[in-house]
Amino acid sequence: MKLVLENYLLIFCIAITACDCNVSPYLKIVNVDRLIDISSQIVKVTNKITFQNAGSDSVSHFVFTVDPKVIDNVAVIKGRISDLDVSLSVSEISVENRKAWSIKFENPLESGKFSTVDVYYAFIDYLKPYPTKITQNEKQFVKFIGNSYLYIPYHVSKVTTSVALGTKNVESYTRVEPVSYSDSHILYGPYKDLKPYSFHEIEIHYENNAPFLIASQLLRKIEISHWGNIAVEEEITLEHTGAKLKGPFSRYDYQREPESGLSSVKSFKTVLPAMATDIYYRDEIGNISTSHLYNLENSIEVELRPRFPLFGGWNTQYILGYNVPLYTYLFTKGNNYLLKMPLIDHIFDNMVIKEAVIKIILPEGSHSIDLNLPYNAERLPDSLHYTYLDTIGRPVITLKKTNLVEDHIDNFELRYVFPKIFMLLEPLLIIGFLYILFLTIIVYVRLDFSLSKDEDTEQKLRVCGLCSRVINFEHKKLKLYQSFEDKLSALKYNKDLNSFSVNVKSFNSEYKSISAQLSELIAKLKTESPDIYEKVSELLKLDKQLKEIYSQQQTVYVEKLIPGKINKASFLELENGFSKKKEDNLSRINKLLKSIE
Amino acid sequence: MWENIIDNPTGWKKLIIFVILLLAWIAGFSSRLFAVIRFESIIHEFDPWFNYRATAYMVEHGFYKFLNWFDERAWYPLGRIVGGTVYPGLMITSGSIHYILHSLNIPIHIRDICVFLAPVFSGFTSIATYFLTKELWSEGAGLFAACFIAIVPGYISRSVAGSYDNEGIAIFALQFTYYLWVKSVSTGSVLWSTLTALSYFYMVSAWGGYVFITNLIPLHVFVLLLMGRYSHRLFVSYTVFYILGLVMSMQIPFVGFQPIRTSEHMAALGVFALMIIVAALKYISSKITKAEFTFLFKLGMVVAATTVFLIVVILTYSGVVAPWSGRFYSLWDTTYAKIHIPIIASVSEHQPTTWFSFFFDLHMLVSMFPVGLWYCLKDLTDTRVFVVLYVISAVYFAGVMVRLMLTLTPVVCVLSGIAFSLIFDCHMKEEDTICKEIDAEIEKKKTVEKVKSSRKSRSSDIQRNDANIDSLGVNFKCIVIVSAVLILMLFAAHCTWVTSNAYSSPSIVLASHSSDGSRQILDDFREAYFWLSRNTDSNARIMSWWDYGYQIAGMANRTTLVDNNTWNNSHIALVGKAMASTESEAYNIMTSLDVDYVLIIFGGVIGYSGDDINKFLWMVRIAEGEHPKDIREGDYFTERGEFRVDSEGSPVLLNCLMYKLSYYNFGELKLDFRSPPGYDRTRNAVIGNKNFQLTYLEEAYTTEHWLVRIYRVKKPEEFNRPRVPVSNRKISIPHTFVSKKTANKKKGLIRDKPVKRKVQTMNS
Amino acid sequence: MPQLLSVLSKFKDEYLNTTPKKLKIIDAYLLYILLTGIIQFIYCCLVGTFPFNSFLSGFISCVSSFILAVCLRLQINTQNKDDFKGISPERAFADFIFAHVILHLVIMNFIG
Repeated sequence: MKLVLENYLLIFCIAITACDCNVSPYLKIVNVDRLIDISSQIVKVTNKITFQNAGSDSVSHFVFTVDPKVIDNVAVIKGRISDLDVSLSVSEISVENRKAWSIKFENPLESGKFSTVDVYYAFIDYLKPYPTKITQNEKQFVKFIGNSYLYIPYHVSKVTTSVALGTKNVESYTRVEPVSYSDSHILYGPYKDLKPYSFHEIEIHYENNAPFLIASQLLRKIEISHWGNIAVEEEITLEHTGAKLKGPFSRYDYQREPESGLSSVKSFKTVLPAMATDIYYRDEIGNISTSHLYNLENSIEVELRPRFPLFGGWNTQYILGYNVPLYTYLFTKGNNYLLKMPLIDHIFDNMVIKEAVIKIILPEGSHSIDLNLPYNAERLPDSLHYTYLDTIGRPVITLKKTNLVEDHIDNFELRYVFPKIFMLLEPLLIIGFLYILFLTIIVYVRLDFSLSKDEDTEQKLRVCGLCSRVINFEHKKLKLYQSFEDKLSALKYNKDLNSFSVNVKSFNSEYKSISAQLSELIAKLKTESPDIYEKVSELLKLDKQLKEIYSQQQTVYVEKLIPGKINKASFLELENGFSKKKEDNLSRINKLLKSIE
Repeated sequence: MWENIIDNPTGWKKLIIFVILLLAWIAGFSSRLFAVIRFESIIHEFDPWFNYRATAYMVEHGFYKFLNWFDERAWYPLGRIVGGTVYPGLMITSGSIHYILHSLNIPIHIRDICVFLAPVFSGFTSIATYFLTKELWSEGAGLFAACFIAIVPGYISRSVAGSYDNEGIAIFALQFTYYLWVKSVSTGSVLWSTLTALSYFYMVSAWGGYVFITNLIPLHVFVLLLMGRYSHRLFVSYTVFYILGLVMSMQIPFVGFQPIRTSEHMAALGVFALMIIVAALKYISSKITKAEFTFLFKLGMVVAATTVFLIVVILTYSGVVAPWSGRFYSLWDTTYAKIHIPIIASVSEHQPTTWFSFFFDLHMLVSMFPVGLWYCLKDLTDTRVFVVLYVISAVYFAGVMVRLMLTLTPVVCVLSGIAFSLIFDCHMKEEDTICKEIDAEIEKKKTVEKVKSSRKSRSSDIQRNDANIDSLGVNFKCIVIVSAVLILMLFAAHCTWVTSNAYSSPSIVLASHSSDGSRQILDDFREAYFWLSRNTDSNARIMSWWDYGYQIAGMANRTTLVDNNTWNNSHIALVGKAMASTESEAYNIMTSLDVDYVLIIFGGVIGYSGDDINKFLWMVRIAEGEHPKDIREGDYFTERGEFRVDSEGSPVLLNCLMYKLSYYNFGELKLDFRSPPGYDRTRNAVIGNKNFQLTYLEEAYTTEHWLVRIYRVKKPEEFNRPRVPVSNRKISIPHTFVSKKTANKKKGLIRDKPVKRKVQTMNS
Repeated sequence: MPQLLSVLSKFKDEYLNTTPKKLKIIDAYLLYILLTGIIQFIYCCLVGTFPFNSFLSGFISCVSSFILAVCLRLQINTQNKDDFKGISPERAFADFIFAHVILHLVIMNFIG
């Protein structure tokens, strides 16, 4: 639905511009200064055109054309008011079934008024190496074939064309008088009173060792993570399209003679955003270790060296990736987000990209996507991308565009809605997974999967349980004795028989209950394990002895000490005897307890 | 509730064991990452590149396509049936990990899985070792053994990150199979021996070294029989293991019917038959009187053993059973390979082990394991007989071949674990104070934390069985324990040092230190391979010595003539002959083989010792083996029998293709101000033949440090030479071949370890 | 010879008298497998081993069924209880089934 609507819009736009396609007969060109820069692999042309409206009506636009032979090589065309940084809107139209551009004046040109406009355009694939094959030590020469006039549907009063070569080494150039050659410039003109669409071919054969490097393939992936960063990865196939290398490559010459392999590309610089971190430079067989980083004021410059120098006809491939923090490009308002970042970025100076595919991967769960491009590009069908812990997949927007140059580095705007709750999805997944994992472990440990019960171990376990219970009871008993001991000593001092007898009663009842439970246990033990039973019964015997001692002590206290029937010396003697017996008994009990354990 | 948990000693023990094993895993894993940290996540060496390529193929095309993969890019023009000539366990393992991760939406690249597979499996190995030792001795000994195997250099050498080779997973399979075997012998359960067979199946699928298991387990059973230790348990475990293992091992295409045809597997079959006879005798004798029992038993044993032996011998001679393969002969007779198969002898891994490397790979374990062995002998059980046999055979094999050090390492760790556990058992009883002191002392040292905690678990053992208290003085105990701990610390330090210095170089990326101490990376191999992959025709055929075949196929994706599989000796000899002949003769061979490019390794500029000139004599020898008329080793030596490249070198050498390709344009090169032009740093000589031109080849590419040089073979119309009729140019390619090895795939390695020497020469 | 015969007859009596019924059933099964194996062997001697893997898988499955059944018999036999501590008859049977499942999966793959 959305796409269809966009198409309609596009058609509508074209319909509006369609009425702009007429060439106004009253528009005259007073003066043209052309500057053709052919020092790099791109041919950059700047035309400074002064228009005059000779008619009576105001004119809103003018039509601009390029020689039909090379019109398909135009990668970019721009118009602006001369000497001001105000760009004019350019739209593609067709004049007499040929491609042309209609450029609007800032304000419609009133009758009799002048206006000076800069029209800038760049050709790619334009300069042809000649000879097409050179050996390693030869220099690269190229041929430029161009127009010394201006190919435009208006009458031109005066044209001067200046060609910047960037070299002093010129093999030959076409002479169309007046022409002058100085330093690294060739100046054609001025030529006067030219008809519309006038054309005069000039040919310049000159040395050009600039890198003829093109990126034949660019795959740019922009992945947005709302956890804080945008990951950018560019997979680039580079090709040297200059004169092809003929004959052998000699490393010896290449290393020893600086003149050798002038047109080859050893390294190039890529400019990355200033906030870029974690930069990596690799290819399909691993990391490429030859690169340098330079931190500039508002950008990062990376000097990349391919694995091998690129000679004419050679190609290479690499992957360059980096992270930028989210806040540099992403703007937010509630759940609405706006991503504003360059559609393509700088790869090398005077770059040419033959075909670029841009993939924008949005976070999982985002919707209502609205894309706004700085220039037309083909939008391929959306897809889904799955990465770590994704369940429903991340929406991917894919764009495709051919023939790009540096002037195409421009921001796109992408609006989408992303509910913040989706950020919790992945941590919750992990938590849930761990929860289930531990649960299964617990269940596994608790459940018994054995086919049949193993009698031996079962019995052992039972005996162990019984023993530990016996030990517990014994410990309780020992505690009881201890408290009884305390009571006795209390009695020794306060001689309060009443409270003591109450205490003794409670002690006796508790003791009885414990003994009853113990004997029950022991009965069980007898059937389970005879030799432990023996030990336990011995324990009981000792225990009984201990009880006996205590009761003796009690009778001594109650019957002799309290009424005062005994003298101190004999009492002490008795007391010592008791404590010795008790100690002896206790140590034996403890030993037995340990052995049972 | 809490009190219950704290008081519960079994819970604590389990927790401590778990923590120690986890730590051993982490320590083992991280000490294998030196190469990844210093360089990058990359596949190392030579064979791993093939394994990686095969894995990537399998991931891309699916398992069945992989099994039927005919690789026309190798062994041009013969090709290679990959599916039937590899042990697919490694590829299947990493392929299935890849599959599982990707079905969970975890997009890890297959390369990273391959790189980290061996370190992860080393963790499994240490766990398997723990269980094996626990089964043989005690939990404490198991923990020691697990910690030892996690960091011992003998095992790390084959399992660093990036060393994506069969051994990486095979040692785990080996240890695990042995654990299950020991377990099944001690329980006599069908379940355990079925699991043993399954684990054995995994081992068979992973490594040719499975033959070690197929012979060791029958040997164990046989020895137990001789010792009169037959039991029904043994019968159950062996017969079930054998028969299931047999049928499973035949599922691997590369193994095929070997288990019933070759001599290596016959011992197992013989013992199987013997076992059945013994069991039958036992059964019969249980039904009849005792007097007949002993008589029949002994008689049956003797008769069965002799018949089985005779049958095997007869079958071997009548050709039904294939005789032992060359590599196995070289196990018995160490000089066999040198005389008969130069290609086996040419690999440094197949040389006999030196004493130095025993110490280098095992450190103090070498002196400790006899202690463990002694205690095992003192207190023999069925299972301990196994470990005794294991160590005896492994020591022998490790002595014969450096490469088999790998099978010795695990058992040495097991026995040393037992020895250390005994030492600490003896000397750490009662006094808790000593423990605490030492604990505090070694707390800082990270590696020893395993030792410490294993001691903790032991002290709980000790409290339970407070039996005989030795009459050793406290001070004496202290000294013994401190010195034992010191030894352990030294061991850990040694392991780290060896791993970091000797075993962590990817060998396709070299590092050197420049004069100001900064590290410089020499990436010439990848430079050349990537150049090939980008800038040559995708069907170009590249001739190089076989060492580089896998790397060219893996990184450059181009057709090679010979590679590290070395299954066809005559093909390799043909390449060797081309390298050793003059340019024009070599051109005939190269055109007959449709060679487009020739790739050679030349270390003369940077002083890399593992280059082709240093390997050249092996090329000559192998070529001489097949073409004795054309190539004679003696021609390449000076009259005094020296191999030298300077002006005194033999003229045959100075004019052969290898020499010319290595030194083309090198004669004028001045490396620095002091040395004369054409000074070869590797061989420390000024080359003898300078300023020559090539007629039939042209330099296509040379890397930055001249390490790899690639030449293009000119087409006949490109040079001035009368056209030789095609019929004369033909060289018959032998299409029938005799494979010199069947069971064991060759591991290719450059003869000299380049890494160590290279750094020295760079500094000089 | 007569001695051997007497021994054999004694053995037969012993077998019939002392062997429990369960084990006799297993013995019958063992005999059946043994016969199957022998027939296969004779067949291959007469006709040839041509699809060698098919012959092998058939023969080996016989041998391994035999072995597994013998193991089961050993483990179930009450006389061998000391040898197989911790293995109850139920456990032995479960193991037997498990081993058979593995075996037949492999055999099916192998038979081609």
